[in-house]
Parts: sequence; structure tokens; C-alpha cells
Amino acid sequence: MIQLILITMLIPLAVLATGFIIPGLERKVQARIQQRVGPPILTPGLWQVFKFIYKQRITPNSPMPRLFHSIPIIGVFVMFFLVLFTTPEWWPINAFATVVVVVGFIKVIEFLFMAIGSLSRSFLSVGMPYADQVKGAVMKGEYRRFFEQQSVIRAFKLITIGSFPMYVAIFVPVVIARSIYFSDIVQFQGFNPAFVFPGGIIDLMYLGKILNLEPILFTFPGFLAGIVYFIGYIMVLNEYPFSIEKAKSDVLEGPSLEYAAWARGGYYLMRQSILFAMSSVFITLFIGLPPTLNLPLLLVHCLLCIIMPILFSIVSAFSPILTFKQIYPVSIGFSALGFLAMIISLVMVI
Amino acid sequence: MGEKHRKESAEVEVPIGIIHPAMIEPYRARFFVEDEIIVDCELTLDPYHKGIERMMEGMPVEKALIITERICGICSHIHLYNSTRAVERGLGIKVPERADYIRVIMTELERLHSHLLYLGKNLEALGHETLCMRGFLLREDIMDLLYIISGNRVHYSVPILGGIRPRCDLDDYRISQLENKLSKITIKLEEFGNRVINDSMIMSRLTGTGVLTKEEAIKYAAPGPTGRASGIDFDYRTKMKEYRKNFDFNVIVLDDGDNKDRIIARALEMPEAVKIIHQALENLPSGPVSNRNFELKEMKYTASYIEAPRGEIYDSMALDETGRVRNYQNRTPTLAALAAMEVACLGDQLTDGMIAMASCDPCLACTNRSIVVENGKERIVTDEDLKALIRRGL
Repeated sequence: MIQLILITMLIPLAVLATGFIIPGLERKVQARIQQRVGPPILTPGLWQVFKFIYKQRITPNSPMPRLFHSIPIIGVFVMFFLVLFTTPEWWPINAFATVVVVVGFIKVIEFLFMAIGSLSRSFLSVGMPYADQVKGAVMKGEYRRFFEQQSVIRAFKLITIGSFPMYVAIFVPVVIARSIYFSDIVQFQGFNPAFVFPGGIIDLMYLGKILNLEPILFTFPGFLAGIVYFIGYIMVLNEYPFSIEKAKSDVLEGPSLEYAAWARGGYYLMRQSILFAMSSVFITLFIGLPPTLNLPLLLVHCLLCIIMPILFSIVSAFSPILTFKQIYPVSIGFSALGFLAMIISLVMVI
Repeated sequence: MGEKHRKESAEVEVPIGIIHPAMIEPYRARFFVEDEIIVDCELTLDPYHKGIERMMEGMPVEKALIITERICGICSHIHLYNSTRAVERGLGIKVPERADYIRVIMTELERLHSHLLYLGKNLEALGHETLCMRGFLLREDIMDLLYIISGNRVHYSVPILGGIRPRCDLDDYRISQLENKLSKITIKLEEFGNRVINDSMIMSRLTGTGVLTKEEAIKYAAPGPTGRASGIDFDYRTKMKEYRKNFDFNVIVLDDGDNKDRIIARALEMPEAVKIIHQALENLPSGPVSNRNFELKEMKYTASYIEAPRGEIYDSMALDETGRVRNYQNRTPTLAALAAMEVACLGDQLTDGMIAMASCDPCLACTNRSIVVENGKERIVTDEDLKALIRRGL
């Protein structure tokens, strides 16, 4: 029980601490590719959040401002629980520690982006006090759509097709390990939770055993699924080249356009949590190293979680935004690759 | 591809602008969409009015010419050059050949930096920040060349009535500097152009979107590279005496008329501009750079056209008997180019529609000339209203 309480307190700290660094690394990598110096590592992740928290509070133009403001906080907690459910300390609560729950949580996050957009009415589009409806202007239909509403439609499309590769990839380790339980999947890869605590939470003994892990990522179907997961990861995060939901050229920041002051700080926290949580799920499923109460292991886990955001920032730096004309074939192609990985896994297992 | 038709009804309207970071220029785009597909578009271009034409009336002509340079911060030289040409034509001022060559060098350098700015802006609209930054980095080298000649990076003030400013004359040291730097820039331009053209993701966004057929381009009088990308074989430089006799260059004409061709047309125009500059530097005539033997007198309405980076621009001027500006008019290509884009974006996804807008290289600072506001409200001006305003001297 103590371990359960300790890990429940420790994981949010780990998520936040790593989350504070990730955006800085992301920006730094992109800046270096663009031959710029880039911001200090902690500025975009940590100081930016504090900066926004202390800015003047502005009432958003939203039909339900309180709900609108509280959604990022809900998102942060959803991500905390997503990571918590993958920890060995939470495995005994059987129904939670499964891949199906992770899929559910990711769906919740995708839905939250839609909710944010549908509750926002930015000043920059329909709200602009500009005389369109003068004599001679073209009037077709009566409904005028805010930027956020346009991006909600895009978010909905991405929910249906954009994140599909990720879900396919998540189930490849399930097929290989023949179980939807995290405990079985990580133990299949050589992780033994019984070795974590013998010397206390700062025991370094287990660190050496990491090298004995047999990650699913290093198998052929696992590698294919890893690539597919990576593409799905970028799609779920709405980052370049799949950031049509927040395409700068038309809908700007998309759903979050109206967030200001502390709410924007909260939004950044949510994004950082998602960045960490999705990477964490990957490390748990494909490397077989879950976040645990053992601090050295947790540190290694957090360091590994940084790799995926760095990789996606490299991809982002070399990509334009793709529209649905390109996203559909890309998504279908990578989903097909994911299915191929699954079929190969099935053949291997049988 | 047949002519595009605007749909009579639409599900919804997505209004973008007048303040929008991606547009850079202040204009209002109302997209009528079905799902993501644009079925109609309406642009409003008039919120940014400086009143330069009115401001210049009554000013001494040489002072007024300096103001024409302030019409635009990107193609500042071309406005000054063309308005100076108009006055020179009207007053019969002979310009030394050396000055003509240096004016051409400035024009082509300005074309280079304008096209690089355009490429950067379009790549940014595409969401490709890295190549956008590379484009702007490359543009810095061109700005350095402009600085070498004129001592300024934005408003160069090179042409004056009868020639160019003496400080902008090119000595041997400047010429060698220009040639050396230009040779290096040529290589970088080629690499940059190839990098953009060979990027399959960029090309998948640009190919087949924002298509403006040749017929539509003619119908909407699409100017400059926008029209040439749709197959209109016309470049005003081929009509200008400064270019016609002295320089050998190709007019870039492409057929597809889509966003890709509008971008590639400008990318291919850059080596041609470099070619012209090299020819100008090699064959630069000796002699004076200005002819100040002229008398300011009454000048009837005289017009001049020139090929600016965005297309043809028109300047006309009339002077009174003391050499002050009686009337000045300036027309830039953006109005026609954006009107063409209203049609070009039909059938595209909303995000591609914005690329179409950016791909015609709009510059609203040059374009907006007049707006009628009465009691704080805009008013539509009819023919009769216009005649009444003219009668009242407004």
C-alpha cells in the first residue's frame, strides 16, 4: 500500500520534471537544424508555464468558460493516471493495467482537444469587428464558422483515422506477449518486478539487469510496429507534418487559440504530459522497462522518454503541414504496415 | 481543366483576417466551404490606406519621388524607378546609359530579394519553417549586395531625375565585390531551389492546388510571374528599352498554373535575374551617371509601366508649371493577382486555399489607394458619387 501511495506521488513529479525539459529540447533541436541558437532548454517548458500563470487573467470568449479553463487540468490528470497504470505498483488493480485502458485514455485526450475547440470562440475570425456584410458582399449560407470549430472538424477526422496507426502498433506487443496486461508484456521482455525493491527505492542493483532485457522493439514485427507507433505518436500530438488541426496558415493555434494567462500555462502542461505519457507507454510496451518506484530505473525510463520527442522534432523540422489529401494515404499506409507487423507477430507466436 | 465556377450556396463561411499572422498582409478572406473544400471565396482588400497619391499633390516633384519609394518596403526601388521614368518621359530628360545599367542592376537585385522573401513566406505558409529560414538567410546575402551599391538595405533611393545618385555609382572595387558575392549566391540559389523542388512532401502540397488556367489568367489579367505560371508569355521587360537592347534573358513561362508552378516560376526567374546582373556588370558603360540639365516645367499626364517582381506596375504623373505634382497615380499588380486567386482557390482544401493566396505574392502596402468613409462608416461609391467627388475636388 505504501508503495502504491509513493508511486502515485512520484509519477506526477516525474511526468512534470521530464515534461519541463522536453519542449526545450524539441525547440533546441529544431533551432539547430534551422541554423539558429534556439531558446534555453528550460524556457519553453518550465519558465513559459510560470510566465503564463502570472499573467493577467482574461475571461475567454467561450460559452462555458469554467469548463473551457479546466480541460487542460483534466488532461494533465488523465495523463498522470495513464502513466500510473503502467507502473508495477498499480498492476495488482488488474482491470486498469491493460493496454485497453491506455487506448481509452488516449481516446479521452483526443476528445479533449475536440472539447477545447468546441468551447472556444476566438476574436480573430468571426468575432472580428469588420464590415463583411456590406451591400455587394457575397452571402452564401448563414452559418459562419470560428477557427476553433474548423479545427474541431479536423480533430474529429484525426480521431477516426489519424490515430489509427498508433492503436494498431500498440496491439503488436499484445499479440507477441499473448496478453493485454502490462505485467505480462514487460515480463515477456525480461523485466521482473520482484527484483525492483530488494534494496529500497534507490537500489542500483537492478540497473545492470536492463541490459538483459529482450525488447520487442528489437524483433522484426516490433521494429515495424515501433515505426508505426512513432507516426501515430506525431499524429495524436498534432505535430508537424500532421498538425492540420492547428495549421498556422488558416486556423492558427486551432482549438487552444483562446487560452491565455494561467489557462495557457495549463495547456502547455497538458501537452508536456501527453508528450511524456505517450513516450512512456512506448518504452513500457516496446522496451519492457516500465516506470517504477526504483529511482535509478525511473530515471532511465525518463531519459528514454526524451528520445521520441527529439526524433519527432527532427521529423517536424523537415516537414511541411500535410492536408487530409496526404494524411489519409499516409495513415492508411502506416496502418497497413502495422497490420503487417501484427500478422508477422501472429505467425511468430503460432 | 475547365473554367472553375463559384457555387451559389455553401454550408458555412470561414472568415480569415483582417488580422491573421499567416497572411502577413492585411486583407480579409471569406472562404465559403463545404467540409474543407472551398466552393467560393471573397476577398476584401481595402483596410490599409496610406493616401500617398493625395499626399504628393502639390509637392515639388523630386521630393514627391522620394515618397513613391515609401509605397512599399519590399519593392521600393521599382516604385521610385518607374515614377522617375514617368517624369523623365514627360519632360524629355535623357538618362545616361551607365545610369540605366545601374538601375537595371538594382531592379534585378530587388527581384532576387523579393522572390526569396516570397519563397520564404510561401514555405512558412506551407508550414516548412526550416526551409523558410534558409530562404530568409539567403535573402540576407542579396540585401548585402543592395547595401554595397546604395548604402541601404530597404529604401535605396538610387534613381533620381536624369540618372542615379552619384553615391550609387559603381567603381571597380564595388563591381568586383558584386561579382564575387553573386557567384557564391548563384550556387546557393541553385542548391536551395533544388532542395525545394525535390522535396516530395512540399510538392505533394503544391501540385494540382490553386490551379489558374491560362483562360482564367487572361480573364482576370493575372500579372507578372502569376500569369506566366499559367502560360501567359508576357514580361514587360521585353518591351522596356533599358532591357530590350542590352540584355539577353529568358522569360519563364510554365503551363500548369498551380501553386507549384507559381513558386517554380519565381525560383527559375532568379537565375535569369543573376544572368542580367552579370551582363550589366560586364558591359557597364563608362561615363556620367546623371544628367541634371533639365528644366522643371508643366508636364501633361505621362504614364510609365515596368516589370516589378510581382508583375507590371503603372505610374502616371502630371506636373504644374512650377514643377509641383498635380496628379499622381500608382497601380500595382496585387489587385489583379488576388482577384485571380479568388478563382484559383476554388475546389481546394481550406489550407491549400491560403497557399494559393500567398502564392500570388500579394502586397497590400502597394495596392490600397482609396476608401470612402462617411460618419465612421464605409460607403460604396457609385459612378455618380465618383463624378460628384471629382467635381468637388476630392
